[in-house]
Amino acid sequence: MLMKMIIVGCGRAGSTIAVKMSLEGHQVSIIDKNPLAFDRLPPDFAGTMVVGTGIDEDVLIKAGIKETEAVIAVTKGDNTNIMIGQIAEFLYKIPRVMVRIVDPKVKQFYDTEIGLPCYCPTEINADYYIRFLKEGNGCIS
Amino acid sequence: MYIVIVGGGKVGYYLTKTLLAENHEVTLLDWDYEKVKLLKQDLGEAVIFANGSSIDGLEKAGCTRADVIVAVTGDDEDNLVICQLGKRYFKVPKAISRINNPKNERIFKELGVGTTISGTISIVASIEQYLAKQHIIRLMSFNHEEMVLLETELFAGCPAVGKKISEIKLPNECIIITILRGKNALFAKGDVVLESGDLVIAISTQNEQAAVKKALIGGEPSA
Repeated sequence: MLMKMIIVGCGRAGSTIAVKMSLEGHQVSIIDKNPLAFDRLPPDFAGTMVVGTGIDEDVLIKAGIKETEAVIAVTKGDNTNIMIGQIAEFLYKIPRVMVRIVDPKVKQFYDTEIGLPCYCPTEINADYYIRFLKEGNGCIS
Repeated sequence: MYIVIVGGGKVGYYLTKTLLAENHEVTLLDWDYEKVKLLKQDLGEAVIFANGSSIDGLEKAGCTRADVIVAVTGDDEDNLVICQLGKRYFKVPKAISRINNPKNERIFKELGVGTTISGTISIVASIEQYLAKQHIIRLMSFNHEEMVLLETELFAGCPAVGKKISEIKLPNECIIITILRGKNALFAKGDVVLESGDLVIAISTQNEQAAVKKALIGGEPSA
C-alpha cells in the first residue's frame, strides 16, 4: 500500500527514511527549516521539499498535512517533535504518527500520560549496548 | 504563592523581579549558563541553572509544590512542553504560557494549555483599539459628495473633552448637530460641555473633514 507521508527534519534519520520510502513509491514530503539540509537528499529525489519550521501549522499545511496518512517528527529538538506530533495526532488525527524523544523521562511521560506515539533512541541504544555487554552480541537487526 | 518561571529573557527577568517585589516566592530557570550568571547578580538565589523542559530540571526547581508555572521562553514548542509537564506530571494547579506565534494560541488550547499570553496579540489589540478610537466615521455624504455627515466618539485625552461646544475651534464650514450621551440626544447648544464617551454628530464640507477631526479628537489633519 502506497502512502502519503510527511517527515519533519531532514537530518541523517529523516533523509534516510525519506529516500527509502520515496524509492518504494510512497509520496513523501520532507520539511526542514534549513534549506541546506536537503543536500542530504539525492538529486533525483522524487518527494517534495518544504522549507520551514514544522511547528508552524501553515508549513504543515503546505506539506500536505490535510491529506497525509503518516507524520514522522525527527528533528534534533525533542520539544519540536513533541509539538508536531501532538498537532498531527490530536488536531489532525493522522492515522500514523511517530516522534523521536531523546530524553527517556520525557518520552515516558508523553507515552503514558499524553498518549503520543513516540520512541526513545536513547533507550534503544542503551538496550543495544547492555545486550552487547551481557551477551557479547548486540546486533538487533 | 510559589511561582516557577522558565525562560530568563527580558520577560522572565522583569516578571521575576516584579513578583519578588510583591513578596511571592519565585524560582527562575534558564538553560544558558552565562545568562544565569548575569541574572544571579541581580536576582540572587531565585535563579537556577536548569533545563525547564526536563523532568529533572523542574524537580530541581521544586515544581511539586509550585502554585503556578509560567513558561516565557522565546520558543513556543518549549513553552508547550514546559506547561504540559508542569500541569500533567507535577500537577501544578495553574500553567501559563507565553505564545510567540499568535497562530499557536488555538493549538495550545486544544492541547490543554488554555492560559496563554501573546505579546503580539496584545500589542495588535491595543493598536487596533487606538486606531478605532482615532477614527471618524462618515455616515453619509450629500450635495454631490461636497457635504458629509460625520460621527466620532470622544475619549479621555481628546482636545474637545471638557470644553463647551462654543469653545471648540471648529472650521467655519462645520456645525455640530447633536451629542449622543448614553440614551440621550443633546441639542448642540454652545454651553454643552463635551464628555468622554460622547458621540458627536456633525456636518462639514468634505475639505474640512480633517480639520474637524483635529478639533474634536486631535492628531494631525491628514485624513
